[in-house]
Amino acid sequence: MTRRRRRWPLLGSRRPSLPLNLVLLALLLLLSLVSLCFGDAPLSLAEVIGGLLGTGAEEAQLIVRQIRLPRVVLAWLVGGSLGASGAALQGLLRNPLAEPGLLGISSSASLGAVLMLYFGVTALSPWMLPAAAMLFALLATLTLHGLTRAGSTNLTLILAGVALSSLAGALTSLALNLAPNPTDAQDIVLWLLGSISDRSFAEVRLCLPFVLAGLLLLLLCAPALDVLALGEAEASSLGVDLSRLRGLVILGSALSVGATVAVTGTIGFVGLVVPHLLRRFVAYRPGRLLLPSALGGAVLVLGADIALRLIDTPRELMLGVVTALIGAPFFLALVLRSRRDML
Amino acid sequence: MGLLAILCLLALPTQAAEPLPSVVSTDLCADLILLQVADPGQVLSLSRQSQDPRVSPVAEAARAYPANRGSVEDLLSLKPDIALVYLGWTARRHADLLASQGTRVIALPYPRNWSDALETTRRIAVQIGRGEVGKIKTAEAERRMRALAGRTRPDRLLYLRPSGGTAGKGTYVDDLITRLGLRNLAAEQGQTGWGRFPLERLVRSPPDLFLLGYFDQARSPAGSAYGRHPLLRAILDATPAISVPTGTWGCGGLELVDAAEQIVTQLDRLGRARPGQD
Repeated sequence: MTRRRRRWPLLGSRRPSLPLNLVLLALLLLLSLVSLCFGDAPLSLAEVIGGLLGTGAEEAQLIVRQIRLPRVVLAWLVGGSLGASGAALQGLLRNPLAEPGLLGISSSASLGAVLMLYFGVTALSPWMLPAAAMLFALLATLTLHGLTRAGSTNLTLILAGVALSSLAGALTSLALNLAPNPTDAQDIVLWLLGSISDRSFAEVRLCLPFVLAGLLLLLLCAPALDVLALGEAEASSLGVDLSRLRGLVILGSALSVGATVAVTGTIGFVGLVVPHLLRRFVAYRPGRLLLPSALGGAVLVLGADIALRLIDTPRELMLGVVTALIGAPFFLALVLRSRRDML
Repeated sequence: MGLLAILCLLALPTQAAEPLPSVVSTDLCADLILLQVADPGQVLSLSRQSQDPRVSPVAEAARAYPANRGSVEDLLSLKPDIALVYLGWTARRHADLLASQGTRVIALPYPRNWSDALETTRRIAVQIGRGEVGKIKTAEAERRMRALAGRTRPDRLLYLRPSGGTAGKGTYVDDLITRLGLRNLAAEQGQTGWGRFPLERLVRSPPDLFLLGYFDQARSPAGSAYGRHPLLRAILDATPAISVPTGTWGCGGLELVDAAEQIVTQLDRLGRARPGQD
């Protein structure tokens, strides 16, 4: 890393993002504790902490460790994946509207998962589920990149994303119509809306290795993404291997987003909102934005997951619904602001 | 003249004074009622679902009739006197159009308890001109259900689906559970209507006995993160369970008595019966 920084003297110091990361991390830990305190069983804070540390009653231990904790860990993984992928894709495509959900990467991943689930392939091995989701996410990202590589504007990128999401959505419906058991279509529709409730550590284990690998690949891109902000030609002349960078970002987002979608369904707009809110705190450096976006994404998903448990509805709200309720108006505002650039 | 002769011939076996109205059913639950009370000669078509052995308990019998997909065009071309549809049938806005073609659309109410099931069957039977058969069939079902009732079982039972769904007060499942002399845990916890039984509540107040719906079919693995949860699996392993006979469960009609009989047989096998405590 130090060798590279010497080669790119423009980069300057990265000190300012450190307090930001610490603040986000503290917020994340605080929200995690809050999240552990909310549930159907009325547990006091002492009971929750006792359950978490393994000193409390067995019942509290079971509830906190096996029901509430996997939910928190999944919120970290999903939010981190979506936030970091959003920031990395925005840096790579140099486009503030790039986001796994909007671009159809998430819906392609869920198509892969639905194909595995409904045609019984998961009976062979549970790992088929994240594998298929990641493969489809990878195909979508590659397609998208191929479509928008030459001089992409906001418009072409979003249109390509709309086309990809519609295609994935249509193929998902087709798969459901052709599936051997079409009767529980409602369950799959709900699943597609995204949720992290009632998940266990079995599901966490299913996506954890891929999310970590994906996040690592994305974070490796940070220095090169900072340089790429200057322009492709400038970045190449400064020694950035563009095809390697593209490969890393595409593979990293496909791994992390695909693996989490396989477990949680599609949760939208996190990758759009979080990098946008945090950009000003990192002096608009796409590379430095990666880690704060991962932490911020986790904070947002965790916050949304707490909010939906506070709202008393007969059937618990779906997480994807809550993030869309936050994210869609945000997206519209973003479109309005950049309307002149788009047209 | 020829038509009249055919109509008379059709009417003969039922010994009715006038020909029975022709009927089409577009919904599995209505198919079940028709197969109970209708004269085979008056049924023009049953829903396509009724022939699918995965969801229909009467697939064999239903294959004797042409199947329909429940569209308005199906009904317009079949021209029945009566069309039975379910409450949420999307083409009900075409009821006027169908009425102009001589087809009366009857929507089946969703049953909340066993009395609703009897009442609906009786009413449909009258509407298709088979009131007498309806009375006989419902009386028979009522007698069988009453024979199952007279025992008290102290167990707290929880009806559970792989998605975590359960049935509280005001559902035919709750009605059936109490009829069989059991206590419905979901209703005792204050649940009304169809809802979810949260995993955390299950840990705090586990039932003595599970009534499992659709667990055998491993349907919609995506929707059943709840059903796969290791904690639920551990509780299931430690608790006796009986499973719901799938095909006779979803409609809450007369066929519920078949399900009830199978449940009681399973209860007896578990040694859960306490005769003489009524």
